[in-house]
Amino acid sequence: MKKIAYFFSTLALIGFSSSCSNENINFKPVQYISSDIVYGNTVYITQAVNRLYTHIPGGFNRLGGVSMVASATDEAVHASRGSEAELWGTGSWGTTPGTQRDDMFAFLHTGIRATYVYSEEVHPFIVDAVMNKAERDAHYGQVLFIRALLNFELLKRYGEYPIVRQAFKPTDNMTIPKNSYQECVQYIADLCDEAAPLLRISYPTADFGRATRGSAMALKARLLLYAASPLNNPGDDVAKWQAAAEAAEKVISFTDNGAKVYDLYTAGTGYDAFFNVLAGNKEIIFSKMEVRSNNLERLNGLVSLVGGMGGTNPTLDLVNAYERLDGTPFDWNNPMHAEAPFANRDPRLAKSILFNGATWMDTKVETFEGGKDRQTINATRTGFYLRKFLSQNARFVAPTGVADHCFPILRYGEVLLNYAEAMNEVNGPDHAGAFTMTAREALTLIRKRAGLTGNLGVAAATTKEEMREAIRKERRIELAFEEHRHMDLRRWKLAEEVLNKPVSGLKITKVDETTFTYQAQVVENRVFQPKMYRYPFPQEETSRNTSLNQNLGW
Amino acid sequence: MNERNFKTLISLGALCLLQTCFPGAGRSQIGGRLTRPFTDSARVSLLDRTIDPRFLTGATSSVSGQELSTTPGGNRLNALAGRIPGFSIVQEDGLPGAESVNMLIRGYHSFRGSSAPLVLVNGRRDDVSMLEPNDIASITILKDAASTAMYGMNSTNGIVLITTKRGEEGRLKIEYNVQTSLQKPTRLPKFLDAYNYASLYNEAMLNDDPTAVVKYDNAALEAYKNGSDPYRYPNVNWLDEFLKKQSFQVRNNLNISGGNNVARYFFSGSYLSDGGIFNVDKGVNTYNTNTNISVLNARASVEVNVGKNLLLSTEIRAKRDKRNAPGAYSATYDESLFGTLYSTPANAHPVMNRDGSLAGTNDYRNNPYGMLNYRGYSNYLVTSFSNLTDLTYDLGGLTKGLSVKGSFGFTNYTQFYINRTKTFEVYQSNAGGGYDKIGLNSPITSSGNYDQIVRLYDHSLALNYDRTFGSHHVSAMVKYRREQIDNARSLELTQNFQGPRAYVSYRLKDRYLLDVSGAYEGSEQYPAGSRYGFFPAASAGWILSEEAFMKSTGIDFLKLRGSYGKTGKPANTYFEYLGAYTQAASQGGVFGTTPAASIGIYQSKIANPFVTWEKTTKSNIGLDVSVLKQRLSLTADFFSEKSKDILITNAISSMYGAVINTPGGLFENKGFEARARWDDQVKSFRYFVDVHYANASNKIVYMAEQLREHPWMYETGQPYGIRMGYVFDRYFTENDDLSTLPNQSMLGSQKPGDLKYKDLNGDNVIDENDIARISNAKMPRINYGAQVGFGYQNFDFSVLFQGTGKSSTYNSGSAFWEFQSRTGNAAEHHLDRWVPGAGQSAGYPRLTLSNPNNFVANSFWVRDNSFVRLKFMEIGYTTPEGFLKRVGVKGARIYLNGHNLMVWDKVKQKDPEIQDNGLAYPILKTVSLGLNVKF
Repeated sequence: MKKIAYFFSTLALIGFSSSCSNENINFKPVQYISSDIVYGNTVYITQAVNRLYTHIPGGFNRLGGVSMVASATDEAVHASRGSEAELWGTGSWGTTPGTQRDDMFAFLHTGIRATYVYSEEVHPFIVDAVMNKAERDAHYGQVLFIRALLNFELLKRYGEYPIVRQAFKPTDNMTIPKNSYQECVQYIADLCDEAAPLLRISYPTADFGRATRGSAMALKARLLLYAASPLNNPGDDVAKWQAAAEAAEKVISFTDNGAKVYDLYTAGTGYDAFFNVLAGNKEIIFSKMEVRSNNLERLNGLVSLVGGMGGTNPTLDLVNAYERLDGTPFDWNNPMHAEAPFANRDPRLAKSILFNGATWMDTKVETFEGGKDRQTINATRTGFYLRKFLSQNARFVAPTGVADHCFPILRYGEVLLNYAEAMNEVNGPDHAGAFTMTAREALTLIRKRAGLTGNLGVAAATTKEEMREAIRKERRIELAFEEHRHMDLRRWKLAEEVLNKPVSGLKITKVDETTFTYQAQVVENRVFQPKMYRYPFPQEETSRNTSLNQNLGW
Repeated sequence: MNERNFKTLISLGALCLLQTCFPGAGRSQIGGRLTRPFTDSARVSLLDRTIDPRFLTGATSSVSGQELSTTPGGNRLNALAGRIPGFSIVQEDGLPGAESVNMLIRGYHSFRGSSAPLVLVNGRRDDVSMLEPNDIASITILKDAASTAMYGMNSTNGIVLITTKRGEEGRLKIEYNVQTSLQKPTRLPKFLDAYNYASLYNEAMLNDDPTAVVKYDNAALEAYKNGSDPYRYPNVNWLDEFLKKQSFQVRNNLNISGGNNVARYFFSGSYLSDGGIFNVDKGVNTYNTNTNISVLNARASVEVNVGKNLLLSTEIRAKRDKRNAPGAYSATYDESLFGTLYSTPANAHPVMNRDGSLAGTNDYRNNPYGMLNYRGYSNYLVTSFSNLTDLTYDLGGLTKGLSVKGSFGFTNYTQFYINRTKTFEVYQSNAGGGYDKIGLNSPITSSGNYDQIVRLYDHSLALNYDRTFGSHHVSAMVKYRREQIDNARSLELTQNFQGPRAYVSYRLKDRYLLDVSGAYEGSEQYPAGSRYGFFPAASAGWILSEEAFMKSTGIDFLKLRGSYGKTGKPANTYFEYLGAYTQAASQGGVFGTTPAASIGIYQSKIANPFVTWEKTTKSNIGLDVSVLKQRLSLTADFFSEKSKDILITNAISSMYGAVINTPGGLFENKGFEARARWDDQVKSFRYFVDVHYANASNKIVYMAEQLREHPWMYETGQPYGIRMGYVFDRYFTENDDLSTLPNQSMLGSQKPGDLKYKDLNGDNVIDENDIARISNAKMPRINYGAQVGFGYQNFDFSVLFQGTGKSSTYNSGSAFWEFQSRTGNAAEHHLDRWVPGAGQSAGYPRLTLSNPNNFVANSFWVRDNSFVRLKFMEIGYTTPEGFLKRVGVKGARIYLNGHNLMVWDKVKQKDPEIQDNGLAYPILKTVSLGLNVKF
């Protein structure tokens, strides 16, 4: 009996001790990659940086994956009804899910967090044996640039916002107030300044598209231009314009081994080819890179081509703003102009907009009443289709093809315009001040590349005010559809005036094969209330972060 | 002997025995089917103990295995429907082998994850599918914290505790059970004949486009009507052709038990077979393509006293469940078969063409005949093996009443499929009088694999104490237990639950009862330092009827009881407390002058220190009464539950930069259960009436729901599981001027006869702001049941009604909507469609081939699916004692019963319990003849 008792208690003891061990309860999935694996491998480090580029917003038909920001402004309307751009442009805008427009608050913070994860968990632990300092810096510079860009995207939308300076732990206090506008500008400018010297000036072709030193400099130039603009510089502090001009000038005069790093793209057909050429394109400073496709062509395609979705329909208002080829204004009241309204215009018109009679993908565009591109669902509502960014080669109808599309985030043309705008405010149209180029000279470069045959210097604009007007007009044409207009109108404080007027299209009536009559018609309303100068923070965000004061009027 | 012969032999055997027994008469009874529920001397099984029901302080209900044993069907849990207060069961399909059951004990306990109870066999997780009914001693439903807290982290949803039979001291007992069942669907959709189908199709075309050229001209309609050319103008009733009028199920069980004071045993073997509902063509294949199943179950339980103090007990169960199906096996293969049957219109094509080839068209390639006979077959094998071994050593030598018990449990459960499948061709007649081939006859291809390999493993060591000192009685246990769950087909690691648990139960003078129990249990899924949770519970009872002052009141038994405690429910996340990076191709930025997506590495999981299990505080107050010489028994329970720490997303600032689950969700559930039973005997007429009613109402208190424009758009504050949608207002009519009505164009275009929805916010636009709660949940909030039984001489009779309330179903899909995908079927309820002039009297909107307006989620398609079901009815005859002694039979009982015989409901077009789309294998009504013989 005793034997059994001993046997049993031994057995029990073994059983009990094995039960109580914590071995099982401390199991972890060993296949999980931890940060030490990332920072211990040079390839992985690069891949960690690669990922950050996916957090940069693009620009092609990005609202709901359907419409472009341009279609919420006076540049265009969207073909299919009920698009986010249409709702936004017509004033349907609120703070709750479903009513928010261009709501990037969470998206941008996801990217900002990712940059901090690199800064905190990877960068400090890379040893020389894995990656040398120069390489390390070149990687880190990209991270800082992306952080700066994402923060700028917040600033331009919301104005003052709470700066996040770390990868929060879930237990951290996230009830933080807004920083002042100046603090935000300083923070982003410092990031650009920190990133620039670490970044490479250029990359080998396989790495084309990574942030360069020039990217950080051009971002800073844009940032300072925004900071100097009327909306953000109510006292019209000239020092801010001066700083903006200086930052732009640094990009313009940026040289590498004596050669200018950036220049306007003039090869081939120039202005339009710029958007589909990557190799050797010195105008690109930073783009949202995409793999080759014909998706953009399809989304904005003529409806007469099978699969064409209509997409972005430029307004008559924009079309009217394009000058004549000789640099004089276009006027419908001039019978000569009105008879062939799309002939002899600023060459950028035909390179940005498809109009009735243009040829595209081997078909003639017919946007007259009853024409093949004016019928059926999703046909143009304005009589125009988008041409800019699109490639004839990227056919979505047989024979199909693909092309490069990289949405320009920063480009040399814009830098020249930034420079011209700031210089004009500081020195007027024709004084170079401390620099070598005047505002008018910068403007002339743009107009010359555009292919205008006359009035390149806009000689009639003799005062600062007239020059300001000319630069703004030029900016509207040169940067059309590039997600500048909605912000430019805000920072110039013109949105209330411009974006409160309905936008028009053109009703084209066919008389015979070559003769058409034209009539303007309103296609969509535009509503802009003063509160819309700043985006609203999502209401959920203001309720979770009680220190975050909602923007005025929302 | 092949299966079919075996089956026939068994059925014949049953019939012979039946004929021998039936004429007899006498006074013996077996079964003892009439028991008094609250003063029964039998003990009730709880976790880790059994208890005299008089001394229960928690909320439990139990039912004997015998009561359930004659209910037909393979899934034993379905037999519980309507029998237990506060336990709701909805059976969503009748697929042999599955018979999917949705169970809730006292409703929902959370808005996240499953609220289904844990089902335990002998106190541990095990394979519970296809349990042999005659192996079950009892099933106890554990409802409140006091009865489940010892299951720690898995205690919130309640527990269905199945206890199996063990051998008892006594002479050898042999028992044989056989049951033959005839089954047919409770309800099938009623589709239109060819003429009506074609007429309505034309009407729908014209509704959509008044200028359309209709598909069927007058000659065709006439031909459908008079059936003059069944090949060109077929009129096939596909359900009649391919569903049997009835299918067969046969169950056999033989068990042997007995033992003495040294060893006791119970052995049981059983076989179930079900022929399947489809009318397959047996002459076509050398193999069977029906949905038949055959299940073999074997169980052996042995208890041995080794010496004076050591008790060894072991129980083994082995099961092999083989399911057969036409074509490839999948969990929802029945839906694809019924989907084809239901969506092939009567005029689609004949079964066979004039030349004998299989008919079909480009629109209808899945000729049901081909689907059943020409796609090969599959076998699905579900096997399991379980063992539970206990060693108990009596430490009475140390101190009286003390013992130590070690247990080891193991279950190996696998699901394995073998597909022998092929495709088939159909022939469409062409204008030239010949036939065009569509599809391809392929040779059989073979594939197979395990889709589940699960191992459950648990062991424990416990110290038990049970002793009476005068008027004090103490019973206690402390136990350390570890449970491991492995699934070899999953990439996930073993799940572990481990920790100590204990109870102390104290009773004074058999009238003051106190019970404290709890578990301290941990799981590897939570961050170190917060892996273990404490789940305590306390309960108390006072048997007033034992007090002197109650003695002369005529109340036989009166007990007040209450319990309070904390239970847990796993977060059901996977190592969320750990951070990790993921490397993935094309997940990096795009680079290069020939742009290419790069490989990216990113932090895919951010360590979440908050992840934790859900905690529920439960309280229960109950009352048990027995009066009128124990003829009337009443029991009532009121309960209230508050759950917290339910994981929610969207609760912290997006400046965090990632989605994170935080344990902020709150949920409430409360309700009551009441049961009354009258039990009496008038001379040799014994009878009882047993009724119960239960209500469990829950509410989502907080789920960090996104901000909504209007209060009606919130799910917060509503019960879990309700449906949201547009609110049906009325039909549009020809008198409506659409331009003056709220703009509904976001949902499509509208014509007279379409559904008009309510503009809840009054902005004259029907959009997401007009979406509101439109129904109750699918699972009923109210459950009730009534059972009446009587016995007279050797006859016994009982009937069970099951009722539900506050629940809904949503009529949708190809079994309910007309002409789905332009080729679908139309049913009888479409005859009551809206036509011009019908105003608001139509039962169905205008017919259409495509009109999204009517089919967005909206209240028109919601049906109240409360029902009352005649769930079970049985009449039995027991041979008189000694009557069959000369043939060696101690006793025999023969019975005839019906299951799911009738249902009263408001759904009409489908069984109220079946899954919403109605495409599942139908729920069956069954008539069974059975025999129980004891030797």
